[in-house]
Amino acid sequence: MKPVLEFLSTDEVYEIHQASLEILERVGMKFENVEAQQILRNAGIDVDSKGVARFHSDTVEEYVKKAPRSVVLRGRDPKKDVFLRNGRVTFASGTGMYVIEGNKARKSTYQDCCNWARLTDAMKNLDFSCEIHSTDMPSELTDRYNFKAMAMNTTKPFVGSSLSKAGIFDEIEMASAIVGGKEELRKRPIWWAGYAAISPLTWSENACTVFKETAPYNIPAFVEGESVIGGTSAVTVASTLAQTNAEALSGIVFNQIIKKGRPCILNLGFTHPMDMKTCLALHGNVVAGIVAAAGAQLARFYGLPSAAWMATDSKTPDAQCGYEKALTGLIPALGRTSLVFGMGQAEFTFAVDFAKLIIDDEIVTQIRRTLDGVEVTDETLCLEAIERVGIGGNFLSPKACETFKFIPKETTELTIGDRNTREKWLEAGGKDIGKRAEEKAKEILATHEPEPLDPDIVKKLDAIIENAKRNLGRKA
Amino acid sequence: MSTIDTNLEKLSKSVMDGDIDTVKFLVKESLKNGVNPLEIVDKGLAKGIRTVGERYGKGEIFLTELLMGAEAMKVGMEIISPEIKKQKKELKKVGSIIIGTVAGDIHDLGKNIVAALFSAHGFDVVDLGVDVPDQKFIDKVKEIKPNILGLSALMTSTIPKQRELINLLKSSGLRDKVKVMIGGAAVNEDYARDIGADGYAENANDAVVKAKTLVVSP
Repeated sequence: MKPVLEFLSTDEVYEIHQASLEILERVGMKFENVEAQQILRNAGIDVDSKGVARFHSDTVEEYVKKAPRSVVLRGRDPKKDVFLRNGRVTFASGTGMYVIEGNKARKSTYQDCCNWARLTDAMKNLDFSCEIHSTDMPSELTDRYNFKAMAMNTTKPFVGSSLSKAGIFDEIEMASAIVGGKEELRKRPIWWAGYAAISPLTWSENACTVFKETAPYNIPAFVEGESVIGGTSAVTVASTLAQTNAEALSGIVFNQIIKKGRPCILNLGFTHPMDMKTCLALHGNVVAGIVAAAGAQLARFYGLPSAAWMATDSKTPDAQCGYEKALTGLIPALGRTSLVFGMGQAEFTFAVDFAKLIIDDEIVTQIRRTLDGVEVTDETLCLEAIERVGIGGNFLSPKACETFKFIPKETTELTIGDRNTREKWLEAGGKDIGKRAEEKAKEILATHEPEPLDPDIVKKLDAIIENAKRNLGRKA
Repeated sequence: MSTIDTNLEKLSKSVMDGDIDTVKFLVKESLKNGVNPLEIVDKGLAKGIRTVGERYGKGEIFLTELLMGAEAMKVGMEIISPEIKKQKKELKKVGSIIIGTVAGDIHDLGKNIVAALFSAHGFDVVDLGVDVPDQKFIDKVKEIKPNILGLSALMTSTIPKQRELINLLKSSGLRDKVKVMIGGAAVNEDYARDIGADGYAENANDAVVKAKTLVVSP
């Protein structure tokens, strides 16, 4: 059996769904974008003068059903496409504006973003990649630079950010250049647009714009409720689920109105418990994992993919980092969350650490093994081998050779963790995992070359960025 | 490359793959073609098991793959040994080892793996089994005069036996006649040095490598 961790009974899933519908009808959801308000009105939804839309239950249920059950995240290399299926858990890198080196953090650069993409491209457990920010570039243009860095350095699907309407158009142009035109982009949307509601119960100007402008290309929409538990949602997990689900559902309704059948991901897993003393939003906390896993259960109820964040609040690759990453990774994974972000993430969601990406890859190896559970078949019971080996023998002998094929599947191998005796460990330098991972990251960066992007396409990307620069100058 | 060399190359690869049936076939085939049996060992079987050992040492393959290689080597040697004798040739002797788990201890997984690998590398191996009485080790050393005596002990409660046995070898006047290697989960390099053993190995593959150096050293 493959294990599935559930925090809600079937009745409770239904109850939270109904509570979300009640919130959307009684309190409503504010859409800050005027055009979005009009789109909702045209669809027969009641939007008041302040932009607050109040939804009837049947409207919400009707539109949520239009979101397709099959969502594919596409990479530059079609072989790397990620098909999100029920019960399948996939993993992605984290994001950030800082790069941690040892116990210091510095602002991330365009070159860091390139290196980050290249390292994520090499990680065997990482299905798709998240950008880090090119903070050394003009702030209005970092989205385009990030996009170029990601597109050039990984063939896996990646998530970008869009900072403005002009940014969205440029990124659509860039994505089109890569796949060979806008028509191709509709068929192979290699890019996806995500936005979080501002809790409680608001869709921002920019979120509406991003959803609207990317809709014609069928680019998957990542619709997030991202409350701070105890701050921007009530302190109970149940209430947080009901509210963030209402936020995300209203986002999906909006997306389905503008583009029927647009692939959507219902993400309640970026919700963070607030530290009630410091007011900081915590990331490496089991409560975040519980919300994500329960959120995945709700998403399955709608037949939609879900997401979570494996994270740590620690600043270095220390023990806290290890246990927080393992817990916030394993809980949502066992809850069968479709997309678990955060490999390499550190220090809330501010920073990435290249060494941590290596360690997290190993944590994910262990998580994947856990998800595979226990396979019980005539073959895996190995009764003939038990008989042949007999009393007092051992199963390393050729008598048990038909069982050897199960070794890679049943056991786990460490590539960076230490399983040696003290002598061997000392012989290899007696280093802790942080140090070893740092060296391994450097080694991969020195050797791993992803499939390069066609130079003509690179020229097109550069031209788009140059044009954006000129427009920026004109505005200034 | 001649057909002979190609076949021997295939043979060494089959040992690496632990492919017993192909090893059997290729050894027989080579003998039928009149290839010098010593050459079959040297360029085929031994070369294969050496490569397997190296790959295991580098952490590239699993223990089971190492042992399957050892088994394939052993099967090949069983076919070839009578032929070597018949042709009155002599295999370059690698060395001989007496191995056993000390009295009071019945663990034999590690010891069996070590024995299998020694055998695969061309050592004459006498395996005394588990819970071996002290005197039996002494008598066998006198009788066989091996290059190496391998003492296995897993438990912290039985590892003192290794020290006792080394002392017993001394009082029996045999200590300078045999090299002593120790192994087992609870022992380490320091302990080996402390009790006056000649060698300690971290794992089965290291044990063979270490033993080879001990055999040539005075």
